[in-house]
Amino acid sequence: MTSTHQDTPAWPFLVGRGRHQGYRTLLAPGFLVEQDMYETLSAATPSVAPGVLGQAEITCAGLGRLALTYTTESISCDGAGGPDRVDEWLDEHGRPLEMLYGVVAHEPLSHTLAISDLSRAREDAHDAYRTFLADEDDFSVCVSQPYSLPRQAPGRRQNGVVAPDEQRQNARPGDRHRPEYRGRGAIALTAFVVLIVAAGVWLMGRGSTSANVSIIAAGARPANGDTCYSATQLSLQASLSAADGVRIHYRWVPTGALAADSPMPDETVTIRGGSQTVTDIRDASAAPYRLIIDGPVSRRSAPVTCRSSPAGTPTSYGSSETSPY
Amino acid sequence: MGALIGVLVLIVVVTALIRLSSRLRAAHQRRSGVSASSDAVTASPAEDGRVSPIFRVLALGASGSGKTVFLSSMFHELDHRSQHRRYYLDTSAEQRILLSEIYSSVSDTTKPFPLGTRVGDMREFVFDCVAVDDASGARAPVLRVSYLDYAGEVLERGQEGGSTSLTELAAAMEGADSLLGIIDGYRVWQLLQGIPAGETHFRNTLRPLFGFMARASCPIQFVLTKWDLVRNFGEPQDADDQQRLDCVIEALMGFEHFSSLVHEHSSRQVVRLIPVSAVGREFAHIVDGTVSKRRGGILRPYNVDAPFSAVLPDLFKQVEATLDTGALNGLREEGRKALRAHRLDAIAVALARPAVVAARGLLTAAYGLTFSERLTTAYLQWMAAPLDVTAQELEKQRDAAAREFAQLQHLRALVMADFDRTVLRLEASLPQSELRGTW
Repeated sequence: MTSTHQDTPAWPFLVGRGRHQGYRTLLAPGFLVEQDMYETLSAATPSVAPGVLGQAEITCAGLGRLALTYTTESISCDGAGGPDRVDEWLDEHGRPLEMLYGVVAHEPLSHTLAISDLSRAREDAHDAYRTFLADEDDFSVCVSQPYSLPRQAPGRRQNGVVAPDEQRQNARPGDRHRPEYRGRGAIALTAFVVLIVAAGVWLMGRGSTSANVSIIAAGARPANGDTCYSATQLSLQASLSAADGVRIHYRWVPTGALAADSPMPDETVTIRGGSQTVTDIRDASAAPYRLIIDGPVSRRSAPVTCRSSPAGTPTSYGSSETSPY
Repeated sequence: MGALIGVLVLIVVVTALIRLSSRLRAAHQRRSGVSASSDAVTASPAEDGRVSPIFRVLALGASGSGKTVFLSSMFHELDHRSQHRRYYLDTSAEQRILLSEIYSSVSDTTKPFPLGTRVGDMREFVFDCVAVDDASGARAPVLRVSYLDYAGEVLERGQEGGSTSLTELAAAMEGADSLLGIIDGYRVWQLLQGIPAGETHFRNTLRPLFGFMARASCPIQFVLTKWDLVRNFGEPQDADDQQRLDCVIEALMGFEHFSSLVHEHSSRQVVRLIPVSAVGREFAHIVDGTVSKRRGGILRPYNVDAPFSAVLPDLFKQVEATLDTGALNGLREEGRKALRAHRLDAIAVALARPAVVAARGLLTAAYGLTFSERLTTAYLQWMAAPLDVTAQELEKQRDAAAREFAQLQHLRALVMADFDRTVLRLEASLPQSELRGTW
């Protein structure tokens, strides 16, 4: 049988729990983060046993179908790094921590892909997991960079690698998103070239203004009283930097489960003196909030949650890092 | 040339047909895969009308609150006959093995607790409640209960990052016949100890959960998991379960969204806070803020059957308490008529009777409950009990189908009596577990 090797870009992703923070996407491609679609990765990846490759497919508005190839791995002392005690790698409920990592691709990857093909994704996943465990509360999803993976890899089955049929049998029920691609090499190649060109044009277009607009910090504190627990409203504050005279359009977007009930207004601020602090009052019940800058370029903060201050001290804002894109 | 074109056309057509066939087959297989699991749910005795239809129980709880472990422990406790219980739970081989694996992982003290449920692993467990009558030797499934297992993070993080899992869960809530609010005993312990994480959990994390329960149109209960951990928080050294539960209730009522929820719902239904432990005392403890197993600990589950047992009796009693005597008598009469007919279609006829239609309207108005046809069916059957079905009477039935139907009524009455007994035991040992709202 003859075959051709064609590579396609694949972006690493990672889903996992922390010691006290719940199961979430920790590493994702920039295009999913930018469109606020990254949690589709956690929802679309049913369990597979460690050492078994799972495959799934998601469809995202504006992005089309995406193929996911992933596996799981228990966190051990030589994994994400850190203390040597095994029980350090349990969450507070006494459950082991685990990484579900893999790659996202616009093209389906070879059915004969092996775990070793995900080694680069595994390294990136470990890095993201370390960052997450170091500061779970203020963590925001990391953006991954693509690397090339083969679309076809004939002969792997002969080398003893788990066959795709076997992998499918090992996957658990509920894995309903099966990729089904065949003979789309030309389309894929064209789409990839168009994507690269479009990305280049986009990057060139945004370069002049985007570099100068950033969220220096964002936080929240009770608008009334000293403790978050009794607060009915939050005072949300962010420090923004940009060139003098730049008009920034922003909004606070609730990210809690009650978000849908709380439409939020758009705000604007004109930067003076290179930076500006904005303060807005919002309903505490819809917290946490995320600062979204819509113009002149897109920026977002990690979710900000209310921070109480110790008794007897003035209240202060909790802070949040800017998402790295 | 013409022949060559013909051959090429033929090749193209055949190839297209093969690919079409392949796709159709693949699509069929995918559909079969989905419906296979659906079939596992629906192709039960429940669907032929001879037993009560499925009751959907949805446990709402945060990540780590113990939903899955509680489920595995409950099944392990109820999957066999016991001297004092005339029913047991049955499920498919696949789900039995999965629950058994979870339970084994829980019981093995050399291993940590099992992995939490992942967001992508939302799954439905379906249990048949099989009744056994020792006197006659009859055995049949009389009730079917579904239980949705999911990752608690779905409730905590909502639709962040484009997740649609909450939408799926919300749909499940709409279809639920009963909601169980799972309250994590570990968080309660933190709360009672004055650890900020406990306060934050009840103040913020559980707020959406209480919000969902407040809007529910079905009966609600609270299940306090990890009851074995709720001790040594400053209570008197000789405090018993009642005193400790009093402390818990007082602390929880301090949160307005909890107390108002209890107040709102307890005015029209029984709202319980049922302490349970999937592992029992002396199995786990808290070390440096983390729940750990004790080496050599032995599982002794506590009260894990109570939430399951309370669902139907509470629902039906709540209905009975609302209806006036006239409506109640009308319903009872219709129910008995239907059951005496010993025919499946008699229930369907009864559902259309004016007294039953009016009662359903009253129930919906009084409770805001969606009193579905299947709930009404089960209620009619329960209300008419005890229908004294003796062996002689069974023999008098004209045909095998009627005999079987009457036998099922008898078996169902046995199970309901067992449920009642479990609830009474709970009320006797922990009377304060029935929550009363106060402003």
